[in-house]
Amino acid sequence: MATYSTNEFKSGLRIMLDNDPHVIVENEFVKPGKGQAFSRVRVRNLKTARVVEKTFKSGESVEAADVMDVELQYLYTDGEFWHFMNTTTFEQLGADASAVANSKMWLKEEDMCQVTLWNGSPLIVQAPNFVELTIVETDPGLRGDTANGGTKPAHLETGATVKVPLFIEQGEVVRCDTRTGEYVSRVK
Amino acid sequence: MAAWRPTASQAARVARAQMLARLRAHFSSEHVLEVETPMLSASGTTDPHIDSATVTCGSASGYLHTSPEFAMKRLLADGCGDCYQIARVFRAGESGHRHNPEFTLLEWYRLGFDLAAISADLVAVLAVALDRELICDCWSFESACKQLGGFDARNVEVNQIVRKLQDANVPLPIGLDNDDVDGWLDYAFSTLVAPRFDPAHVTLVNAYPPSQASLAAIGESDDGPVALRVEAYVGGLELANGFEELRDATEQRARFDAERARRASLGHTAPPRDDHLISALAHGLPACSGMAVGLDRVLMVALGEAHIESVLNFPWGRA
Repeated sequence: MATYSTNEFKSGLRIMLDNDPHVIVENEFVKPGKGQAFSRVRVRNLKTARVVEKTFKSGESVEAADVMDVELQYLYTDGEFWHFMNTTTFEQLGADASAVANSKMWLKEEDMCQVTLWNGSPLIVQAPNFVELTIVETDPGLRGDTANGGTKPAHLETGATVKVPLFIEQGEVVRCDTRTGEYVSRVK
Repeated sequence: MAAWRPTASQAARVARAQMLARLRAHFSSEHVLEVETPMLSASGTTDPHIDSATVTCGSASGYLHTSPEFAMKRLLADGCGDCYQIARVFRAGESGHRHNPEFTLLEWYRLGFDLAAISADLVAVLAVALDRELICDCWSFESACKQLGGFDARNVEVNQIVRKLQDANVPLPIGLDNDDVDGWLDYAFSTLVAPRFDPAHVTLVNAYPPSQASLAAIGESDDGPVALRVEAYVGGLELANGFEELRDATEQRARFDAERARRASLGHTAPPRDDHLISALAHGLPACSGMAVGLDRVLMVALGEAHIESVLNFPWGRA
């Protein structure tokens, strides 16, 4: 079992705490000149995204979390699992609903996604920062109203809803930023 | 920022140069002699919580000093008189917002000064270093713990400290044994007491528990024995540590041996005991007090910086 000592602590290090994988967000060394040293860390739970503070006496060891980020291609969902493929080894992996909770509405077949694996299983799936998706439903466009900046909701093929300018038509492809959930531009 | 560049600004370099010039002028006017002692020694500190950097020197190995204290006391025993040193010192593994493994320590000794006199002298030196008048708050360790932290530092109960930490939403230290009373005091003082010191004042804390005497003499108070040790803070930032110095060679040897045993029990290596210091004390150290000030941190206070990197040209990682 790999472990890290407190003197190896730094932001980005993945460690096991209370049986969940966490990532160190901030690490601070606390020590009176003549006294015991401590590491005070802020850690984010990779499953729940909750951030908590912990303190370790210097020299303590913590189990390393077997967590890695890989680029996988999204294939399809069967409703229970979202299936991804490693395009080098062709190995397929299924992510459950909690792993895709924040990304499933953006997932389009064949898009490459960053997938965080914990003990080899998908823990978090991140949608690509930008996706190009077809509008499956929106109100009819209003001609001549391109300058006023009004918006209307548009439903996308993957399930997401974004606000688009009034001149955008059903069936058009739009580019969206998945981090903000906002429309970026029309794709010709 | 490219890694070859310094992390300190030109303004910080100028402020440092001016601070060093003011300090040297001050000590010169007080007839305190500037001295130099080796950074590299065959022995080193046995402090359980301070790790020395080890270096090889030809076929021999040695230790970089963590403070110039032992060598300066040998000078005092030899009759050097009042002296000071602006030394680069090294503490292995200390790295963080307020720590760099290599830092600048101003250390000085005044003959015939007791703890109160060296404390007043410290405030005067800090005023020179910061180039302004200072307002001073003063606490005994026990009263600061009681009034600011709400816990008893004389009859320590770990459960009481745990409750106070929980009340303040401070995470409990993982890995700290319940019988490590000084460890709990260190943590509670760092998290519950020191952060409540006034950031615009200098706060002096004295009368430490005898278990935290380090190289200080033990004195008597109304409530029993206390270490004749003083620490200075600005807000929660520790700037200085001083002692009315222990002069008893036998007691010093016993403390070194106890510390080396403690280090061994913690699984840490310990440098050899500095027998030159023991011999110097046996020869006779004049009654004196000494003070050590972390000048990088003083500069942080002067410039309002929260990170020590802002006052160091090349901190560890770029050095």
